[in-house]
Amino acid sequence: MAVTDDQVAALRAWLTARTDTGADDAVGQFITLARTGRLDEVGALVYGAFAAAARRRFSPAWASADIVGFVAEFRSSSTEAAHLVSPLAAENQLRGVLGEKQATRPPEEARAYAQFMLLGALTVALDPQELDSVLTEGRGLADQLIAGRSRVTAPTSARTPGTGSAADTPGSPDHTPGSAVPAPVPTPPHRGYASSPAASRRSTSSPSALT
Amino acid sequence: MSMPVTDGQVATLRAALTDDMDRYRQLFSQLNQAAAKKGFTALVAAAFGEAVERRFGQGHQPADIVTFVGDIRSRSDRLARELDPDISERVIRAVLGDGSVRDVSDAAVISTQTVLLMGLIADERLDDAGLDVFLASARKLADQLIS
Repeated sequence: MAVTDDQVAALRAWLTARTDTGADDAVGQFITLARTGRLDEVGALVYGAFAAAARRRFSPAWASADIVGFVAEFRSSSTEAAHLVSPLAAENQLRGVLGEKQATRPPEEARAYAQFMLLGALTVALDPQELDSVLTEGRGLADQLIAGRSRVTAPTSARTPGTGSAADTPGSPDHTPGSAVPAPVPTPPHRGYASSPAASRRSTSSPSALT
Repeated sequence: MSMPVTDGQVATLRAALTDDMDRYRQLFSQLNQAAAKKGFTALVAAAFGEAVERRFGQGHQPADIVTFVGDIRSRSDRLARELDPDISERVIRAVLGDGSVRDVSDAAVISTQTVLLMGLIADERLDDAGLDVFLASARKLADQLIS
């Protein structure tokens, strides 16, 4: 089954939540999806959007320090971020979607948290059109993953110096998405994130769990 | 009674902290390995503890540790690859009384402490006299640890 409009809308609502009300609305949309058995594709959508956003952020070239620095900056933005996001898993997932073959595969829950929360950090500064573009590209990647295609669009960014492998695409076994949105859902990932211009205006309370 | 930290062990650590790695390797190879296993390890642990206290001390935020480890690992591809961020954060937090590293191998702890210590001292930009004072203090603490 392909990703649906309401699944994209739920993720978009989550990524753009700037208030408790907005976050509650997004969680409500996820709960509706869960209750109607339509949450499965959201994991693939998060993964696709994460891949698209990472390429947008780190293209056309990236260095190891960029990845390490980005993850560290995000994890230092809140105790929750530091606790929930494993730095090794986060770096592994970023490197993977940017085309670098990874020798290890983090546990599923660590992958899911990394993708979900870093997606928020990667998209927090995007304008609505840019976010739409990321979600559209992510939806396309997700649909390809769901359809079981073995290969999807090769990464457009290249590592500096170029040790990344363009042949190692997001569809490869090393970089499969987390099974779904992590539950319980953490605080919207961009809340309090240093790169967010609206960070200081956001509440810090956590939304209720999905399930 | 255990043997106290030796001048050779202090000189070895000093070479590492001044980024004179050729000299470090030379001096390390000359250490009595049996004695170094206790003395040098204790010296590194003591110096690391002191450096962590100086850097983070009271009132530190968890974010400070995450940022520091990220900064160290960003300094080279090799550090990014070889310095485990989870263990790094944990050995720092353990010094500050938050958690422990009992489940981590001694080898991983000592190697992580050594690399982080080099970063901590590099950031302090100590002159020769300052480094001597620091090492003297660490040596005294290490002697207490192994006595």
